[in-house]
Amino acid sequence: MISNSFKAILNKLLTVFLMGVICLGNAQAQSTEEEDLEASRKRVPRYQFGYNDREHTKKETALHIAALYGVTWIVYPLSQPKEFREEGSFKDWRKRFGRLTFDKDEPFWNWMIHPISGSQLFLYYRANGYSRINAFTNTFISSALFEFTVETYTETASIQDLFVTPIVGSILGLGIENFSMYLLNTGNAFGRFWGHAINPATLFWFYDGKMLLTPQTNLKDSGGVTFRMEF
Amino acid sequence: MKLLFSALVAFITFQAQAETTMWTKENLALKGGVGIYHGDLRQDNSRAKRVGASFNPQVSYRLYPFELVFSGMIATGKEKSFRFNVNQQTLGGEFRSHEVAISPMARIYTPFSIMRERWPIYISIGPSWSLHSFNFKQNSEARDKGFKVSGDRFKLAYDTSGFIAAIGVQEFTKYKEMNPFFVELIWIKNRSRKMSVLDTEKFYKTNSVYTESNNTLKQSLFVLNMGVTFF
Repeated sequence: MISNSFKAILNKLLTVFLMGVICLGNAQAQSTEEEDLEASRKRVPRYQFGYNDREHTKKETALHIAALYGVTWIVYPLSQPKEFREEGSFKDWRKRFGRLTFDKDEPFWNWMIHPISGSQLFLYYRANGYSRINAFTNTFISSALFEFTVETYTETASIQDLFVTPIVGSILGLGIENFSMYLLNTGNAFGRFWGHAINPATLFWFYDGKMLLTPQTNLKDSGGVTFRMEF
Repeated sequence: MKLLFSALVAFITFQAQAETTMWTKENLALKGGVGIYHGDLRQDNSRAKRVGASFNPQVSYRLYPFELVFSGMIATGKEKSFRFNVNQQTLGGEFRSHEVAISPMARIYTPFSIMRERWPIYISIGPSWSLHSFNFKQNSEARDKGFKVSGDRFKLAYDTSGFIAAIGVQEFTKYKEMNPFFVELIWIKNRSRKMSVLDTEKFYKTNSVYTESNNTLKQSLFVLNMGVTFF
């Protein structure tokens, strides 16, 4: 008798356990289906943006540095035509060459404009496949060349600029790189617009899209660059 | 200073092309930290407490247990109740201070560490050069006392030199890409060499209206700096 009642209890417990397992299985299956449905509702980006680091020949690196150096000789007079015309001369350039000073500019220029310029140099090299440390060293060289030879046309090379442009610029560039990649990989138009806007090097032919740069000046007191980009 | 920057530019240029085992870019790192500072500013009979925040980027080259560090500090704070002696007159009022300091340092990792040898203790020392600027707004005192400033905005800029020492710990990681964390206590002590009164009425261009040799301004700062290796 004891044995029969024990068997009956065991059977009931087994039944309850099996029912529980079946219910749990159903619940899990239902949750997986819901997750799949959730996943399918998300936007799937058409492109996956990122950087592919690769080795560069010395000639290739020299060409990049030379190209940017040439661009600075065009952009600098266009951005400050009045100062370039009134305070710049090759006679003074020779006097200033090799000298260094702490410039007395407002913090806005030293702590905002120069780091932003440095960050864009860093991102240019990153878009060309340089690793982060190589992009930093090349940014340093480009910045030093600008400071010692281009800006010297109008003023003595600045210690802050030599430090802030490549070093703070590269740190800022790293932040912009991560944020722009996040935006570009969202796959939506808003993300792609702002992802390219804060990291314009991603628009050039060597990276992704198409961009047209048109320098403009009236050769007197105004200058600038118009750019058109296509998404 | 010129020699120092020339050496740094040559070193980074060499680094950009380095392919040998000893001079590898794995040893070159870009770091950055944020800090808070506390210290005092003294000139003749005037004395003021200085409190503020700073950003401290560093470029380092590691040859364990040594490290060559090129460190910078960009600091900002707000002070009042300090009067500066300029050309046998005093100028004062509420002002915002900005400082940029450049310091090449030699660092040694000691055999001592904390947290089961995961955090080696290091000490660093080196010379320091900086520019302190004190920005005054809505203050006619400079104009009233005969300095040729065009409005109520001017700043005093002091070129200083001195030394920097630091003690800190840095997390030991196998690769720098793991972003090792560091925390350090920095002591900076410096003295002015030259000062200028600058007209800052025009935002885009500052004009020096008075300059003199000056070694009366002294500063001592303690900075608690925390940061990471970026790459």
